[in-house]
Amino acid sequence: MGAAETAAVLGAVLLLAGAIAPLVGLPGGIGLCLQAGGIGLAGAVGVAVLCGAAPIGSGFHGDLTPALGVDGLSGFFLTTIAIVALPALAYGREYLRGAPRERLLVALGGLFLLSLGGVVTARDPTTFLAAWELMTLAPAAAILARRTDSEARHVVFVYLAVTHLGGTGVWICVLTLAHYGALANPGAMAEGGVAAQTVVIVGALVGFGTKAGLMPLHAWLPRAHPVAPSHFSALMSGVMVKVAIYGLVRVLFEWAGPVPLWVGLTLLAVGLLSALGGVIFALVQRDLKRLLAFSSIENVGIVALGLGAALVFLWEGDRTWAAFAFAAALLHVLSHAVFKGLLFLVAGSIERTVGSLHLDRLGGLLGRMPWTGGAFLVGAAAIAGVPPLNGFASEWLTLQALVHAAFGPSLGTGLAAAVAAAGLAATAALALFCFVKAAGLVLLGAPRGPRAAEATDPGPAMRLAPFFLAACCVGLAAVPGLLLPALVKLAPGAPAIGAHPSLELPGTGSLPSPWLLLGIVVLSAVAWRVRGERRAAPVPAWACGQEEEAALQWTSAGFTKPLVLVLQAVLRPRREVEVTRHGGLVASVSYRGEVPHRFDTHVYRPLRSSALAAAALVRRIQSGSVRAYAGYLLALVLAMLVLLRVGAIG
Amino acid sequence: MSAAVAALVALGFGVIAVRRRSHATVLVALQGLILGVTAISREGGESGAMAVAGAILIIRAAAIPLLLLLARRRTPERTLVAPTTSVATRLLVATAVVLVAVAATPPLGIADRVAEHGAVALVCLGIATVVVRRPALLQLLGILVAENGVYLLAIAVSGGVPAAIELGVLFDLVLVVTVAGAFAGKIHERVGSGDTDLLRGLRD
Repeated sequence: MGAAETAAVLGAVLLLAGAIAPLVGLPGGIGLCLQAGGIGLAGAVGVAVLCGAAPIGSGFHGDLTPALGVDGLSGFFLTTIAIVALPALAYGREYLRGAPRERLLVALGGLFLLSLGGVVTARDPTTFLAAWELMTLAPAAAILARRTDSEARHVVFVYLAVTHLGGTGVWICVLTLAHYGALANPGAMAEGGVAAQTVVIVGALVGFGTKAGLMPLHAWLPRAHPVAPSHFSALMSGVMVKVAIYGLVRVLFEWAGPVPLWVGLTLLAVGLLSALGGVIFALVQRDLKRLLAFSSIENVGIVALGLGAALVFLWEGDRTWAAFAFAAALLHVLSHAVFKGLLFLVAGSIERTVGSLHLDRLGGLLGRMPWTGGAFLVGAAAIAGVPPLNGFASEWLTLQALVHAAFGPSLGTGLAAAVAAAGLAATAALALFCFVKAAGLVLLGAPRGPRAAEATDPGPAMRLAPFFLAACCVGLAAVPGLLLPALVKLAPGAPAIGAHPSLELPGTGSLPSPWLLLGIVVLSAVAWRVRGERRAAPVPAWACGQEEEAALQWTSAGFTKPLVLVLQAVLRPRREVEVTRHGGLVASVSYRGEVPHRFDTHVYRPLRSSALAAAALVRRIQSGSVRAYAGYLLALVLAMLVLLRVGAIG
Repeated sequence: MSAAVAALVALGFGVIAVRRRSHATVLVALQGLILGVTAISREGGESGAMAVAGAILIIRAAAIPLLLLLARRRTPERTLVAPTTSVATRLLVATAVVLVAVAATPPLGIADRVAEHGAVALVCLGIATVVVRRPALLQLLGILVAENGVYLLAIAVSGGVPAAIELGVLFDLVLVVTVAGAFAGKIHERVGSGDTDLLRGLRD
């Protein structure tokens, strides 16, 4: 057994020990340390394999014998898991200390990491599906371990219902692939006929798409992420949805490939809907975690756009650009994992300190919580795609791929890619708007509540974990080109490209990320130097003669009002204004407004009503009479006999 | 074999028609006796197989009816459960079901076509008994009639069914009768009657 194999086995054993340790009475801290050691080793193995070391463990097979292994793609996702999990575990050490059911939450965290690692390293259908189900159940248990109120129970019910209904797609897809032997022999699916391949692809799109949070299968995501413990939210939003992307990539680019054109176009359409829909709904949220959850949908949409472009390029036979689009999607997977993990950890710190994540109760936290606020600022800038941070690098690469596809040989795919490119550009602008709002309301201005006014940074672990992820954002932004060759190599039939610190693309110029970053640092230093000792003179703000108070600042609804007005026909906001008068004078004005989630009202509610109506219809035959049931049985036996006799069956 | 099949089906009609549970139990015991004797007569003198067939005869013709009679004694009805349909209607339904079933029976791969028809007729008669009879014990007897149909098919298979399977089925049968008897007792204890139609009130 080589060093990599030993490290992988040791990592898995440590993770398992870390999950079991709290259950046998050991302190939660020991469990978290063991888990960190385990996932750290697994991540190191992932990095080694991604950077060119030989794949380890077993290859894929369709038997029932459990098998594990790490190849380049698994290595990339293991690395992503480790990068988010390590700070999340360190954060959890402090976040969970003294919390009710601390040990259980630590154990569930370990189980969750095991299942995440299990999905990306599984080499047989049994292990894959078992790890997949465990990955669904562990966060549900963690939510219930933390909260048992009716809201949390309802959220868990919706989460389990939607992800399990979607999960049937994963089962159908994986078992069909195993049946045709396509797990071990990619290409076997194409010989299995169009119908079988279509079943696999639709199963994958529904199953993995649901877990990834692609619209319109996202109903669980904005509900479940906000109620989970924060380090769990970071893993769910940062990593779990990416593991679903892993499944989608495996099926569409490897096991079921080569796929027909409609798959690429479907991914482009779903990606565009998710990206635009996600960011628009994120904009109108008033709870920070819910805003971040919708923003995850947006980013998964951007990843889907990259994957869709890659499939379109593959169909056109342009393997070079297919590889770049594929690498763009993977780079965005990593980027989003890092900054979304960061933002959820920061949200946890703010919630712990201020007691609320309602945007209209926060404010002024940059000065009061400089570590947390600073990390939040970097994360918000990165997710908003502010150059040259990592979010910009991956979005730029995706946009380049889409623009290149728009000039492709086929008019239809060209038009689709052009629309997608325009949609991505709009998404980027709206994301900037969204995170200007979030950062402004959370970090700047005066505190909007007494607890926000007294907020201070949490302890070292909860300070340093987001800081580490912020450093990762900057690091990834500095040299994305060094990572690109490793990601390009993972695409099917990819060409070899050289490593440059900048993002170098054939025919469309390059993104000199390191020089941009260096330029910004130098300019900032010069500006700092030039400023010298001068400071802005604080003067009272002019508030039209009113007394200046925190309530006069921007509110969440006020900031996004122009956009809501423009999109009124789509969003259909509800407003209620109540004016109370005394003696002809206005004594008070109360305002209530909300933007309903129209997918709930227009998609899920009718679906639920139809399902309930169908259930009521079926319930009529559930008479409760033993004799009636025996009657159904008798009718069935006679019908079967008759069908056999006439040769309809058998 | 044809006479035995005819007797079995006639007894099945009897179970659906008679009013008293004890009478129906005796009819099912007679079915067990006929099946047991038929099985022994087809074994051809091999001692192990004869022992199995003998055990089956004792359990089907004696032990199970005894269990049922005990269950009946534990659940005395103050008044007879009023039948939902008259005897004539019940017999008419049963005849129609048997005729459809026999007419529709495809070749099941057994050389003896009469046994195939008889087995299907008994299975359908048994289920029809559960449909038209309300007392729990009579419904249990219907299940036994259906099971006797399956057993008839088993003994008609040339070369017979392995002893392990026969004994396994027998064990299941005793288990089913014991559990069903216990449930019938419990239903009687709770609702004061073995009338399963009263259980409809339990539906939410």
